[in-house]
Amino acid sequence: MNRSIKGIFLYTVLLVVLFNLIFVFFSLVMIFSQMKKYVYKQNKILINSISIIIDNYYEEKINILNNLSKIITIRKNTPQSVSVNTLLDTYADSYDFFDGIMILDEYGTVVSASKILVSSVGFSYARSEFFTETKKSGKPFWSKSFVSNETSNRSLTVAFPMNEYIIVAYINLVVIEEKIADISKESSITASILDRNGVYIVTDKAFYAESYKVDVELLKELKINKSGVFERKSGKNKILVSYLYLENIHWTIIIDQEEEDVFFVVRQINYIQFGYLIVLLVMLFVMSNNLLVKFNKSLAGFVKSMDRLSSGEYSEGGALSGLYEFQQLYDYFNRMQMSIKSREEEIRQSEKKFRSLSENIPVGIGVAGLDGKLIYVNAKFVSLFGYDIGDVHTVTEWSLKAYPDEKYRIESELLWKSDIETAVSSGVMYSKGRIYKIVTKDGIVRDVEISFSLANNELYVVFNDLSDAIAMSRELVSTKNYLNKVINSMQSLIIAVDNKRNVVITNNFKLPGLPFEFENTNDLKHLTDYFTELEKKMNESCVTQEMVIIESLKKQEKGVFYYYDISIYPIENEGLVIVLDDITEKNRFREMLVQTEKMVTIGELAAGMAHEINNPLAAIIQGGQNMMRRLSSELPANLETCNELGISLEQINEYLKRRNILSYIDGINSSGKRAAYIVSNMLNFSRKSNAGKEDVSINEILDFTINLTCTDYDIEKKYDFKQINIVKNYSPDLPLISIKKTEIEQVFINLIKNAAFSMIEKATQSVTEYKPELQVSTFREIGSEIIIVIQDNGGGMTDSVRKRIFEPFFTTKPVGVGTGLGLTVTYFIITQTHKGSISVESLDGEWTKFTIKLPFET
Amino acid sequence: MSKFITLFFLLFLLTGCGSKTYKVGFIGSLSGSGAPLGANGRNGALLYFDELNKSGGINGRRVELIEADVQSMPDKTGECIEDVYNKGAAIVIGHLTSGEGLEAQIKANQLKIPMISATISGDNFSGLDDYLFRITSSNDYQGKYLGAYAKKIGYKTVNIIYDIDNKSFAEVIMNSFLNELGNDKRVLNSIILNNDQKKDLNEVADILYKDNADVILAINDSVTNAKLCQVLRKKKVTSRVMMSAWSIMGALIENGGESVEDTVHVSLFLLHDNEPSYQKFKNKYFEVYNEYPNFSGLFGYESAQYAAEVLKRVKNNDVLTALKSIKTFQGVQQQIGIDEFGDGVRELYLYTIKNGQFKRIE
Repeated sequence: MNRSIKGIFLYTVLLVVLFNLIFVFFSLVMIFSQMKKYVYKQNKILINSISIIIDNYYEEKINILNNLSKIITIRKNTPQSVSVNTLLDTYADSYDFFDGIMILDEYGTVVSASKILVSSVGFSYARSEFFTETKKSGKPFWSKSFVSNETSNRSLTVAFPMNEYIIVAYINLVVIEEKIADISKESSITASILDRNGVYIVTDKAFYAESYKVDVELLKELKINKSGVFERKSGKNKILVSYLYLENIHWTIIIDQEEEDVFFVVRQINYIQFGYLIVLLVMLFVMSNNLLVKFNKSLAGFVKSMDRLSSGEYSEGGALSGLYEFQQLYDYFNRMQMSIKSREEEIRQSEKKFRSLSENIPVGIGVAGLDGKLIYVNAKFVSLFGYDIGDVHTVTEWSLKAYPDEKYRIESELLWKSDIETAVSSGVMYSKGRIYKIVTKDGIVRDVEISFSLANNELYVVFNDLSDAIAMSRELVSTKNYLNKVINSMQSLIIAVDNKRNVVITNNFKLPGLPFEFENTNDLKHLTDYFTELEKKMNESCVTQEMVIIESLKKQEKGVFYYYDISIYPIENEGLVIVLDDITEKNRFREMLVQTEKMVTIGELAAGMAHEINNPLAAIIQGGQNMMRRLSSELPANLETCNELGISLEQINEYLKRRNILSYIDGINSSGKRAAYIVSNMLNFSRKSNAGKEDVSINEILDFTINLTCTDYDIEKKYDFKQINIVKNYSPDLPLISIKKTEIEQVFINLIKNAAFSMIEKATQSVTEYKPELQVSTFREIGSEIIIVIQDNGGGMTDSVRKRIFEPFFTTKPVGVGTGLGLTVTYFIITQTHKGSISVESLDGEWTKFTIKLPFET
Repeated sequence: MSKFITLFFLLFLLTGCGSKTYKVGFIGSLSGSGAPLGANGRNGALLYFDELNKSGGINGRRVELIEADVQSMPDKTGECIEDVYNKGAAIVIGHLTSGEGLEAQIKANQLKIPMISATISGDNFSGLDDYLFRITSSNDYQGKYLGAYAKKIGYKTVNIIYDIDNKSFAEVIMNSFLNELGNDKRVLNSIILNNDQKKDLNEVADILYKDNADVILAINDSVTNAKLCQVLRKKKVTSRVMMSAWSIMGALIENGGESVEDTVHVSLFLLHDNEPSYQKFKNKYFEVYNEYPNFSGLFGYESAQYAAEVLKRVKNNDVLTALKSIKTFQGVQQQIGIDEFGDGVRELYLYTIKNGQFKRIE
């Protein structure tokens, strides 16, 4: 802390005064203490003198009463006699301290009294303290004081035992009051006497003497000590009190002395001392002022040189006017100037280098003092944030602008603090690599990495603007994310591998039917194991650097067939991209499309043919029937014609019979009917009518059909249909559907019968245990279709059979067992009449599954 | 170092600064014949304020009692009130006879200084909206209690003897006593004692002897009543003596000896109260003053309690409003009520003397 010479001088003077005061204070304490002891000692002597006076006073009264007692006893007067009354009068009159004297008998009754008390004769004082106490002790008794009703004087009662009687005297305290007043007169003390109750009975204090004042403080002291000293307050004054308790009469002598009176002289000396101190103080001021003038003169010259120095002007020095002591100092100063000059030049060069470095460095630099004041910022700092040293003065001010959001500012400042502490403890430039969002003067937010260092009590802060780098990085990340999203959104499994077959990128698409999930590099092996030709094709693509495609790879998983296309694309000697597509649905659709096209063509062809065949067929059937009718004896025209010709009809029939002509005609009839039945079915292939549709439950129709078929089969084939395990998986919430009930029943009967036939065939051929099972399921697909699946575990079929199964007259049954039209009719009932679809899947030797989809209106 | 020196100087400057005190005036006879009453009242008040100051005073301020001695001369009362008023008392405790009370009432109203009286019980002070507040019941209750007792025994003829210096007090008691006694009573003589008569009561005794009334109602101080009883005993007057609460104290028995046996007294407080609150007060009083308190000491103490309660409630220096806001306060022996005119409401007790001891008449 800097102080002026004047200040130091004043400080020194005050110090001197303070030590003087302390000295005076302790001196006074010692003097007061000694004086107090002396005063108490003097007062004790005075108390002893007063105690002698009181003793004499007491003795005098006792002696007089003793004398009176003796006179009465010697004269052998009875206390009641007139002469005793006279004697008491004489005594009372002779001594002015007696207000009255009386004699009490052994019962406390007044038997005799001086004039003033004569009316008391006959009174009983048996219960008065002076009677009871004297009677008990046999010794003289001094009562407490009281104000006499008769004389209005402060009085007390003295009781003196006289054989069985007691002499009682009322004594006024006027005499002793006067004596005490004499002692106190012309002195600074107040002497008093207090009775046994602490009441002032004698004192030169006017008020206390007249009042019934109890000295409570004294009573307290008396409880501890019968004689001693204490101090008390009286208004603003302090009183020194000495006291002595007199055991024989229970009085206390007390001397009060005001402290002010005792210490008057000392206080006077004290005032003189204070006066002296003030004079000393003034003199010191005058002297110091004189000295200061000279000092200032020397100092002025010195300061002038220093001023020049501070403005960068170096002088060689010279002589200085004023105090001699300053010249020597001035010489040192001049030498110092030269030294500073050369060092300054070095610093300037160094600073120039630093500035050049600092201004060209691509990072912002800020330097602040420990008080937070900004000392320096480089050009990059200014270009980064827009603030120069004149715009912001402190780190706090800059922080307010750089972090306008208060919450972020507080967080950032805490991080700053933490980093600065680390920098201080490590002793080197420190950055934890945190990126701060700093708002520039133009309101642009920059991403800045900040490093800290503390040196020479200055904080060096380096601001590295990473905004562009971070923006670019964000762009890259964004692009990468976008590409990932594109790849991930693709419904194909895409795998990019390098030349070492390490997976570089994959979208992890879950390819339907793939028995494992492709998740990481190792899974490529799973893939090549599963698709055995893949490895070979990959190598081929690598070598040729051309795209290779493997089409319609068929795989079966859990009874379902899956078809895949695999495309392999080489990436300019950097590896391959493998794309796997699930084409199962696409295949199925394509197959169905072909089937539909085919069936429509066939349907139309068959219907056209049937129509053309129908007319000649009708002529054949009709001809056959007419032939049989014209051979019948029931027709009169036949008999008439035979009679006309003279031929017996019976003979003709016999002839035809013997030549099997009739059986030929029957053959024509039955074959014609069969052909008519086929033609009738074929005509249905192209019929599209809604007539006869009704709302029914598919589940109920299925149940009805299964029951019907079971019964039918039992009878015809002698096969126990109950051996077939029928599993029904019906969806309970199927809506009613508008269909031609009998046609759909026909469809289900066809399919169930075919299934049963297949399973019987397999059962008869099977050498191992075989459990036939028919699964019938219904469910509702999202949208407005009801799906019916009928699956058996019979003999199944080959792919070539499967593809032709719906064609008319195509059958796998033995000749004569089926017409080959059952499934064709089924197909057209579903697709033409009900606008639905039917498909079949099968594994040869294992199972067959028909799937029917029927649309319904919601 | 410099801080230390500055601190030292500051301490020097601060030394001697004191805190404010509340000033309470006390007026009463500290000398003359009324001194036993006045001094005991003052002692009681001092005892309470001493306790209060030791426990921290009122809101941290000490209470100082400023005394003024009426010297048993009623016409000095006004002068004394003025004296304590000029010395800065905010409120005055008066320990006065009813005779002194009249002067006090006039002066207090004139100076507008509220005053609490420990002992004034004159009936002419009750029912007034003035600056005088009391913690005692009005005097007519004393007369009523004594009259009812006399009527119960069947006394018909009455002599009355009272102190001229406390005439207003005595006459209220006398009137209520006679009213209570009923219509068939007969007042044989009503004697007003002057100062000479008080010194020699023989002539008075002769009159009383001649009248031989059933009951003598003596309304005087304890020493005068003791002397009266001594003379009556000597003259063999057989009338039953009844006394007001003014004389019920140890000095009566001490100065009256056997002559005061069987006399009847009304008391403003319970003499042999074993309740802890009274015992505590009594012992404390003895500890300080070397003697046991009489009613005057007790009432002085209770007046001080009342004054302190008032000072605690004072806002904006308005002592009168604070006084009026107190409707009841807990005294040493009982809950003391203060009516709308600032008059005390409390229970009284009857006593007689048997074998030199006061015995309560249930």
